[in-house]
Amino acid sequence: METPPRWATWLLTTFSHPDTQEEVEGDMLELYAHWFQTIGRRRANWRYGLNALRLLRPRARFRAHADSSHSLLRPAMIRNYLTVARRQLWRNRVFTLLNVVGLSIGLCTSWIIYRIVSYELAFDQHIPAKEQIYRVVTHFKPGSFMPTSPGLPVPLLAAIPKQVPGIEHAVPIRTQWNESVYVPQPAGKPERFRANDQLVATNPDYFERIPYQWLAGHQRRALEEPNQVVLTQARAARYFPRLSPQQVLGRRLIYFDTLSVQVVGVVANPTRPSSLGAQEFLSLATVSARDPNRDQWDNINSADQLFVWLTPQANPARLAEQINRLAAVHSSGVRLKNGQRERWHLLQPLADVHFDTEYADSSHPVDKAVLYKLMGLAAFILLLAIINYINLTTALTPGRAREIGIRRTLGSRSGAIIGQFLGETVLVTLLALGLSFALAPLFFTQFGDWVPAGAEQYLDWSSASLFVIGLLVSVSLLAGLYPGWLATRSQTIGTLKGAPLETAHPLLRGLTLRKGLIVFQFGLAQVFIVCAWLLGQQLRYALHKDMGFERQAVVVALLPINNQTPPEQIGKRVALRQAINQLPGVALVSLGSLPANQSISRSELSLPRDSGEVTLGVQFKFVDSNYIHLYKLPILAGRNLQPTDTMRDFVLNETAVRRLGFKRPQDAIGKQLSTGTVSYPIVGVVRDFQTNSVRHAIEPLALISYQYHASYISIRLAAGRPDDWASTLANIGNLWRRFYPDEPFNSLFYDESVQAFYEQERALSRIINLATGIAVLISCLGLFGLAMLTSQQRTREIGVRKVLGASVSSILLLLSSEFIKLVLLAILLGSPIAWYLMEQWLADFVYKIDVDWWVFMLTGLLALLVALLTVSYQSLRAALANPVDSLRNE
Amino acid sequence: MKRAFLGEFEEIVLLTVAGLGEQAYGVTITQTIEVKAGRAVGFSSVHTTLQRLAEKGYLTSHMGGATAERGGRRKRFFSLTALGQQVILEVRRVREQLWNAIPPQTWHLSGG
Repeated sequence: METPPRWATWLLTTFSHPDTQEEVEGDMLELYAHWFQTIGRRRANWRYGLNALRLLRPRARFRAHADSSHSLLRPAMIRNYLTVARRQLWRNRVFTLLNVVGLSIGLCTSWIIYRIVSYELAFDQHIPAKEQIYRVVTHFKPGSFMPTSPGLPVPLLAAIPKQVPGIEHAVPIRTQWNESVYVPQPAGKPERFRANDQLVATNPDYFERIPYQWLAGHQRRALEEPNQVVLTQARAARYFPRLSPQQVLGRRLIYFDTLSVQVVGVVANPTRPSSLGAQEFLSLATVSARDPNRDQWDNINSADQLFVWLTPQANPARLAEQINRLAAVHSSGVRLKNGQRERWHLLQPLADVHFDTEYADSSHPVDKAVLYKLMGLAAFILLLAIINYINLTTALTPGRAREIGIRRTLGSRSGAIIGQFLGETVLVTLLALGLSFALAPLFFTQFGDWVPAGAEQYLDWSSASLFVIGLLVSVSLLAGLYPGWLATRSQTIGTLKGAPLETAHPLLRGLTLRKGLIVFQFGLAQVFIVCAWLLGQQLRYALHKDMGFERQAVVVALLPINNQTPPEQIGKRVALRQAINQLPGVALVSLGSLPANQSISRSELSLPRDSGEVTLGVQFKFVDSNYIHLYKLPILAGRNLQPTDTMRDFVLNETAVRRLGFKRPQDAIGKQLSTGTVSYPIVGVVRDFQTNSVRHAIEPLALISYQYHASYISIRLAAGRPDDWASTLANIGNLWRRFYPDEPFNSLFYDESVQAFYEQERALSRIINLATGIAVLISCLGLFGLAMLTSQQRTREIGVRKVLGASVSSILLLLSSEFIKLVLLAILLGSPIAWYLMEQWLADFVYKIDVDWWVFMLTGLLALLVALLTVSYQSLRAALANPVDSLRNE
Repeated sequence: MKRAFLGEFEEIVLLTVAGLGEQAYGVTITQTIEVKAGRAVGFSSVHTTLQRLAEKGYLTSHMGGATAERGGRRKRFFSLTALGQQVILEVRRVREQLWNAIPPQTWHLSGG
C-alpha cells in the first residue's frame, strides 16, 4: 500500500476539525490511492499535500467553533469588560487604592533591585574577547596582615608581557592619587579642581582593547608619549566648560602640582560599567618617570594592576607559574622554601574581577551571593504584595456574586470571567507600575548612598523594558488568576436567589489559607520589627559607648598634605597648633591621628626577653605630647611622650603591655622596643581605649611622637560655653586660611566623626527601617481585607446577637479576638527567627548589646497594637451597625 | 419564500450528490465532478462546499459502517434534505424559464 507524504498526514490529523477528521482522512487516503494509480507517485504526492494545506484554511477548521460560541473578543464584549472593570474599581476605590499601593511597593522594590543587579551584572560584559582576559593578582602566606592584593610590584608590570610567553596583550592600569588638577588660564592663576578620583595611567593598548567612542583625537596615537592625557567627555566639560571636545584637544592640564600634561583625546562617557574603567587616562610613561617604586620588586600596591590577554592555547595555571618564576628572580619572597612561598601570583579571570570580594580595592567588588539575596528579597516582597492583592480581591468576590451569576446565566464561559478578573488586575498593576516609577527616584535620592555609584545612571533600555513587561504579565497572572478562578466556582443559582453569600464560596468558608497568609505576613513583620529595634539599639550603643577617651567639645579637621619636605610640613603644623592654642575659647590643640579611626597603620615591634625575642603586631598612632591630655587618656604608669617632633619614645596601651608579657603596667616602663632598625624605650602606659569601631576588639597600640604622619588636628574647645563655639570656630577658620590659603577648613565635632564611623550600620539600619515599614504596611493591608470579609460574612450573626442583647464591647471582643490569636501566633513564630538573625548579625561585633526578652514582648505588643488598630475600624462598624439593616434581608 | 442563493460550484456539488444517490461521499463526489464536468477540482474545495451546504440545511449526512479499506476509517455519506431538493428544483425552474425566454432565432444568428 502506498503511503502519502507523512507531513501532510500530520497536518491533517493535527489541525482538522474533530467533527470531520475521520472521514476527511479516509477520503484523502482513498483519493491518494486513486491518484497514485492514475497520475503517478510524484503528482499524487503533490496533490495530496496541496489538498492537506488547503484544508488548513481557517474556514475549514474554525467555522463550526466560531459559530457555536460567544466570542470573548468581540469589540462590544471588550467594551463591556472595560466598563465593568472601571465601575468595579471605582466602586471599591478604597480597596483599589490599597491594592495599587500594595502592588506598587512590591513593583518598586523589584524595579530598584533590578536596576542595582542589572548594573552589577553588566560589569565588563561589553569588552571584546573577555574570556581571554585575566588579572594578575598577589597572594601572601596565611597569617599575613594582608592575605591578598589585586596589585603587583611596579617592575613586574612591564616584565610580565616581555618575558612570559602566551600573552597576546597586556594592559597595566595604575590608579593615581592626585589631590588637584590645575587648568591654566590665559590670564591669572590656574583654576583648581579638587577630588579627582578615577585617574589611571595606562598604555596605548588600553584603548585598542577596551571599546570607547572617540569624540576627538585618535585612538591609535593616544598615550604613546609621556605627559599625555585622555579625558572622558564629562571631565573635559568640567575642566573646559565652554569648549567642544575638538577644542579641548591640545590643551594643557597640570597634574601632581607641577606636571604639565597635554590632552590628546576625548572619549564619550562610558555607558557600561567596567572594572577597567576610569575618567582620566594618563600615558604610562608620564608616571613611570617620577615613580619612586619603579625598581621595588617587593612593594605591592593594590593601585598597580595588570590585565593580560592570553592566547587561546595558553593555560592560566602554567602561566601563573611562569610569572612566579620570573618574580622569584628578583624577590626572595616568591622563591620556594620547603615547597612554600611567602608570596605568589595568580591569574584571576576577568569574569571574577567584579565579584570576588577577596581582592578589595577602590573598585568595590560585590559578592554575587549578595546580589542573589537582593533578588530573593525583591521576589519575597513582590510575593507579599501579590498575596495581599489576592487576599483583598477574593474578599470582594462575594459582593460580585450577582454580577458573575448573571454573566453565567447569559452564557459567559469560565474563560470570560477569569478574563474579566485578569483584565482588572492588569489595570491595577498598570496603575501600580505608574506609581512605582514615581516612587523609585524618591528612593534613589533618599537612599543614594546605599545604591552602588553609577547604578542610577545605568539603564539598558531593551532589557529593562523586557523586564517591566515580564513583571507586568507575571504579576497580573499570579494575582488575577486565583480570584478569577474562585469566582467561576460560585454557585450561580444560589447567588441569584439571594442565598447567604458564604454558600456561594465553599472555598472561603474555611478561610484557612487566608489565615495562614496573615500569620505568615505578621510573622515576617515581627521579624522585621525586632531586627529594626535591635539594630537601632546596637547603633545607639555604638554611638554613645564610652570609648575610653573624652570626645565632648572636641573639633577635628583633616590636615592637608602638600608636596613639602617633612621638616617644612612639621614646622607649619606646629606653628598652626601654636596659633590656634592662643585663641580665646580654645582649651588645647593637638596634632595626631584620631583616637578611633578606620585608617590604621600597623607595624611589628619586638622586645628582647630572657626567653627570646617577643614580636608583636602593633597599631601605631602618630601624635604629639598634647594628645594624651586633650583626649584625657588616663596614664596608668610612667609618663607622657616627650614634646618632640620626631620619634623618641613609646607610650603603649594596656593590651600591648599585656601581650608583650608584662604582668603590671609598671613593669614595662624603661624597656627598649625595637622597630627592626631602631629601638626606643617604653615611657608610659595608658588605659585601653577604642581605636576602631565596636566591631573590633581593642588592639595593641603604640603612641609615637611624629607629626609628619599626624593626619588630623584636634581642638578641645573651652568647656561650659557652647554659645561661643561658633565664633571660636570662625576664628580658627580665619587662622587656618592664613596657613593654608587654598585648603578649606572642614571641621567637624568628634561625635559627628563617630557617626561617620558607623555609616554602614546606619545605612543598614535605614534600609531595615524602610523594610519594616513596608512589611508592616503590607501586613496591615492584608489584615484589613480579612477583617472586612469576616465582618461582612458575620453581619447576620452580629445582628442576631445584638437583637438578643449583646453589647457593642462584647461584639468588638468577639470579632477582634480571632485576629489577636492569629497575630499572637505570628509573633510566636517570628520571634525565634528574628532572634537567630540578630544573633548572627551581632556576632560580628566585639562590643555589643545583650538581646533581652523584653524586646520581643515590646515589639510583639507593638505589632498587636497595630493589628488591633487595623481591624478596629471594621469591627467597630460591624458592632455598631443597626441590626435592623442586617436582618432585613431575611 | 426567500429565494435561495446557490453558487455555481455549490449547484454542481448539490446535483452530483443527488445524482450519486446512496453512494455520495467525498471521494465519489470529487471524482464524479472531475469526470462529468471535465475539470480538475480539489478535494478540499469539495469538502468545504459540502460543509457549507450542510450548514445551510440543503444536505444531511450520516456516517457509514467501518470499512477494511482506507485504514478502517468510516465514510460520511451525504444526501439531499427536502430543502435541498426544493432548492435544486427551484434553480432548475428558474433556468428553464430563462431558457424558454430565449427567441429561437438567436441560435441561427450565433450559429450562422
